[in-house]
Amino acid sequence: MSEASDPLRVDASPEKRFFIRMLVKDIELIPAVLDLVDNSVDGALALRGEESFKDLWVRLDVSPEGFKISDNCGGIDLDVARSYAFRFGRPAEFQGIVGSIGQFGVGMKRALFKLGSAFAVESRTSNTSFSLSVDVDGWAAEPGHDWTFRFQDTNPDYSLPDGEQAGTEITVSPLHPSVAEDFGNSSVIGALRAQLRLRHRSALDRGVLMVLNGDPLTSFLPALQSSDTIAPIYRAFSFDETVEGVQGTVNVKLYAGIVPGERAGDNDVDEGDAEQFRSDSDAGWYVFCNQRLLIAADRTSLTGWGTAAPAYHPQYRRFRGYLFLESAAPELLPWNTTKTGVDQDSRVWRKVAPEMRIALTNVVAVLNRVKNERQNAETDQERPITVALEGARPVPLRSITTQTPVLRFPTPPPQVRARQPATVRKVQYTVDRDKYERVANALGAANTAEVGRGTFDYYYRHQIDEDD
Amino acid sequence: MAKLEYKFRPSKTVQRGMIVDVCRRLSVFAPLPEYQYVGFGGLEFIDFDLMHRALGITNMTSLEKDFRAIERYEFNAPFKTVKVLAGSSSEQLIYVDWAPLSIVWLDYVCELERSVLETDIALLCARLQPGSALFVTLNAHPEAVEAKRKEKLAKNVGEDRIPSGVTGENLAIWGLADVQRTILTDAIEEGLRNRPVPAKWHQVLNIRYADGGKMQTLGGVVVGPGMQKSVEQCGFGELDFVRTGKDALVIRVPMLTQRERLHLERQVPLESGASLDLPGLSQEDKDAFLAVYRYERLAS
Repeated sequence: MSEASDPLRVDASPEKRFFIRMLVKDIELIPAVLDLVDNSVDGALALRGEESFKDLWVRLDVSPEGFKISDNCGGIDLDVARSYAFRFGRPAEFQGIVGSIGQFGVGMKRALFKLGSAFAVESRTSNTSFSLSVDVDGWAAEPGHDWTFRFQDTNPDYSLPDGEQAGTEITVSPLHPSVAEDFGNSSVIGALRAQLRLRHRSALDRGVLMVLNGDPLTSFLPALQSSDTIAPIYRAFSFDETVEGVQGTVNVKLYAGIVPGERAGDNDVDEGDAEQFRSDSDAGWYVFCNQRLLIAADRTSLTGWGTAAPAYHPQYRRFRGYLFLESAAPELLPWNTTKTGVDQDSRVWRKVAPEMRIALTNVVAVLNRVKNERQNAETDQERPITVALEGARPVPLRSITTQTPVLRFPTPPPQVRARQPATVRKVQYTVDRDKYERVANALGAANTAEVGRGTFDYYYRHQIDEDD
Repeated sequence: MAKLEYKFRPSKTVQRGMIVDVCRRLSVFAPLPEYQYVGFGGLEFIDFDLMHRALGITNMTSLEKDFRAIERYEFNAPFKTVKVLAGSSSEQLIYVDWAPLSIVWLDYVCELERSVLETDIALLCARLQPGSALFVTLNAHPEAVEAKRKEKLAKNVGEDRIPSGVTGENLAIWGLADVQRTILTDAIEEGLRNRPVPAKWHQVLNIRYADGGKMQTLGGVVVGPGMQKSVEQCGFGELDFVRTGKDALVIRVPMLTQRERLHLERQVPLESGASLDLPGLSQEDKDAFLAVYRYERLAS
């Protein structure tokens, strides 16, 4: 009797398509991309150890057409690629990299399967190189139990040309349709961007250049201005919820407040010119579900802008809000089915959204006062909030431990004067420092206000009306 | 500052008395001096005066948006324990400590507006302790031109909040008050429902009056889980001016001379079956007098 006709034989061998489906089932899009970036950063770590990451780079090009990540972080050794990196599961003997972030075994393949239906990997170290390209659909459709990939090209005795760098380039194209759709969504890219900046904060601070779609990333440590007189909002609470038979506790932490001005003289910039404020792209709400960043820098009605609070405007660019939702029952959390956005109809979202709106309204009102101070105050006594903010320091969220349901600022609440009457105008301009010193000396003026006044009066007396 | 001096607002005075009567019943939840009062005291602080004298409340906060002259408002605060917060309610309500039980009266002069719903009402629904009372007074005077009424309402509260079936025609007279009550009630109920621990709204006042333009007041109590019995013990239903639904009480203070008023007051309370005697006074005015006389001079 042949094996195939053995009536007692049960074929339990895995079918590739089923296997791929199971493999990618529990990973969402952004974590898949993060896994690939983790590998690059692990490469940097292996290459430099405790040294600076200067001159190392990781570039991501993410669009509906395809995905590409390339780095100069040392490359994947041919033996590692052959025996481990593309193997399903990590063999026990594989040592990995001390302090590594990624799971070098599963992560890469799972991510590649998650993203698209064909991928290519090219890598070279100082002494090996390989290229591998896989048509996943074709591979999965191959009959039999061949679970191997085939290199296009390998070189075990590679010699890296002078001046060139070891590294890896991975491309995935075509993408799965749903992935292409997500990569065309600016809020998904925004969340990826923020997640990379958070997750790889230390690598970025050590000097690695990380570029997403042409934009270099800077490290991102959520922190809010805090001092004896200014305290950001911090609320922590939890509640029980039942959704479709799933019961559990949701723990909520909400932080909102003000970040430092972005540059010296920030206070003097004309707020009307939105174009000046490319750097305000970090402003807004960040929502994390079970530590996963779901939405980043949200400035839409979803988080209260344009409803409870005014619509976003550059004058609010110093606003930051962070909402952390944790639950042992993830079904309760307000993510959509692909976990790339918020489900606004979620019961839990409906309970936390009012708190976000309250916090937003509060911070926005204080920022309005700051603006009022800037426009109308002439002495520091008249701009207590501005002074308090300048004297405050950014404190990382994890160091904010005292619950404060409101944004505290100097009390009693400062009284700001109304706009100056229309019969009076304020003049402000910037001049060369040396020239300023000379004019100030000539005028015997003690400060910029006196210089301004003196020069204006001088012009007026000589060119307009000498008696007035 | 109010345009009319309060002594020329007889219906408002009556309403204030009714609010105090409702608040007395809150002692089922806690002794009244444990409540705080939050309102818009203005320069006259009449409601503050009453809350302290009639109910013994000491912890009181007035919100004053006219912060340029804030010293003047502080000067006029009637008692040592009245705090004046400088700024609009949407900015300052959050700075009130909401840990105590509260009686809040948002005595707006404006109509119901989106900002009222999305900031003040949203905040209070999130913060008021169960057992607290909220009163909201609104301008309910309909736009004169029928064709513009709905447009104005949409501008105020947002198109999507307007219940179906509302037309310019049915916004006339007290129609705007009806719709504003519905929208405000929806917002309060939604806000209370979406608290981490949901609460319910128990309406007790639905008052309309017109000292000048038409005004309305909606009032009620925040009811937490397991508090329904206590609400029943409050016995709000024993107060004849209490309205728990759409049906509203219209306060009308009849025009009477001093001599007429004194004559009528000597005849009340009426024994059942008896009727008021005053030569030439219509039955309508007599009924109106009976409904309001107890509250007319409580505070003015």
